[in-house]
Formats: sequence, structure tokens, C-alpha cells
Amino acid sequence: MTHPPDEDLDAWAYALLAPTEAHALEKHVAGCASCAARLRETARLSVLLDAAAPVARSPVFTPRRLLGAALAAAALALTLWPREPPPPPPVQQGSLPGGTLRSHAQELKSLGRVVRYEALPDPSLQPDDPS
Amino acid sequence: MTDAGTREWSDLQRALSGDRPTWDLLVSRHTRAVEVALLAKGQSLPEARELTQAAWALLFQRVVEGRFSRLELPGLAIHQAELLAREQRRALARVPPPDEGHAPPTPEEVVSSRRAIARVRDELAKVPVTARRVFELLHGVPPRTPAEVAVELGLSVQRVRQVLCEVRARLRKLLEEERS
Repeated sequence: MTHPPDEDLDAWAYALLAPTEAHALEKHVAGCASCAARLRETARLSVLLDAAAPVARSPVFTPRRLLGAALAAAALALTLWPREPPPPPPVQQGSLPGGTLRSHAQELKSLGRVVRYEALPDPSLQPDDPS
Repeated sequence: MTDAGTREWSDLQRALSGDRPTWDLLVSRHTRAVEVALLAKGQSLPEARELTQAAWALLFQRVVEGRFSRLELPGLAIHQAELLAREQRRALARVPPPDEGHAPPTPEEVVSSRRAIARVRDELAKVPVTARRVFELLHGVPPRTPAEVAVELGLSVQRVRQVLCEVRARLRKLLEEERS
């Protein structure tokens, strides 16, 4: 066997060679000091890459993944799509002074509840009957 | 977690419970990485191969004995093989000869290897996204096989091989220039 090219040494390091090719390369390296040194350098580069390669965490958007994401989004949209118009929110009545009502309404709104108030006349605030 | 990552995790759990076929699967998956790590440390290929086999055998024995609560591969196997190499050297010579592969790194070597890692990282940042992703997965945690990378990125294995050979050629050239 002639000296293997760097590509074959790289492929060996990732177990990408066919068993017969790998065996031939290993046999050659066992008897060739310069190729043994080259294989060692190949291994050192692999170790450097282990230290340098960022840890893969975020997904990459391949066509297959994009299609999968689009189908999942469509299924979710169909599930959540309202078939009838939503019923009107219940009317709650309150008789508190305006400022308290507003702050209470804001508090409920922040909790995700829709509240509609109708102000009721407060008898204590009614002007005196002139008659 | 990706499919390959999930599979690796469940394989590790099964192996931890002493499941021999799963263990054998993990051994065949990570053996080359252990051999490569030993070669990088200065072992010859036959030595690396022998130490790797011994390390796997010892690890499985310890797994069966319930000595591990979790497995991190190939890291654990590499560590075990390095310990075995050290023991072997001690057995051969009472005072181990300080040679390139076995002596602890000097401060200059530490600085030099840190610089090399930084250069490799910079160079990886310059390559196209897909190529970078190939390396992130091949050298990530857990490391994927080229076949898994091909499936995950929607490429052929041949294309993955081509990408890694191209980028590694660039890196090899860069590191050689730096050394000279």
C-alpha cells in the first residue's frame, strides 16, 4: 500500500473507512514511521476539535425539520381554531366608586379575566331631591 | 434533545443496568474515539487498541458491580484507558522515562495548546453553517457518529465525509503554518 492520503487518515479517525480499507491502513501504519506520525497528528487534531467545537444545543433548520415544524403548527392551529364565535364575557356588576372599580378591573385583566363593569347609581351620591 | 441524543441517553441507562448487548453497541460506537485519544497521547496504534479493549472490559466489570451511578462515554473509557497506560508504564519501568507523549505538559505547551484550540475555534466560526454544524455534532456531547450527523442534517454520509476532510485540511494547514 502507498502512503495513505490525509483524507483516509481523517476517515479512519471517524471510523468511516470500510473494514478492509481500515485494516490495510492500520497494517501500513504499523510498518511506516512517517505515517504513524501522521496518524498521531490526525488524532491530535481530533482531540483539539473535541476541545474547540462548541457544544451542539440549538436545532438546525433542515428542510425536513422545517416541514415537520410547519405541519405541527398547522395541526395546532386547527385544534385551537374556534368553530363558533366565543360567548360574550359575563357582565359583572359593581357598585364601588369609580377609582376602585378601575383598579380592580385592571387587576382582573392582568389575571387574564375579561371583566365589564356597569356603574350603578350610588344613593349616597344622589343629589338631594329639591321637592 | 435530538433523536440521536435521546437514543444515546437511553442506551447509557440500559448499559448501566448491565445490559450486555447495549454495552457492546456502545463499545463499538465509541472505540475509535478512545483509540484516537490514546494515539494523541503518544501511544502506538497496537498499544492504543490493546489498552482500549482492556479499558472496556474493566469498565463493564465495574458497571456490573454497580460502581457507577452514571456513564459518560467516551470520556470515562478514555480516562480508564489512560490510567491503564500509566499503570503499564509503571510496571515496565520503576521510573517512567520522560518522553513527549507521557510527561506532564510544560507551561509553554499548555499555552501553545490553548492557542491552538482558540485558532481551531476561530477557524470553525468561519466555515459555512452546515460544515460547522457537522463538527458541532461529531465533537459534541454526546458525540454523534457520521451516519447520525448525516441523518440529522439531511446530508449523505459521503457529503459529511467530504465536509470533514475539507475543513480538517484547512485546520491542518493552519496549525502547520503556526508551528513553522
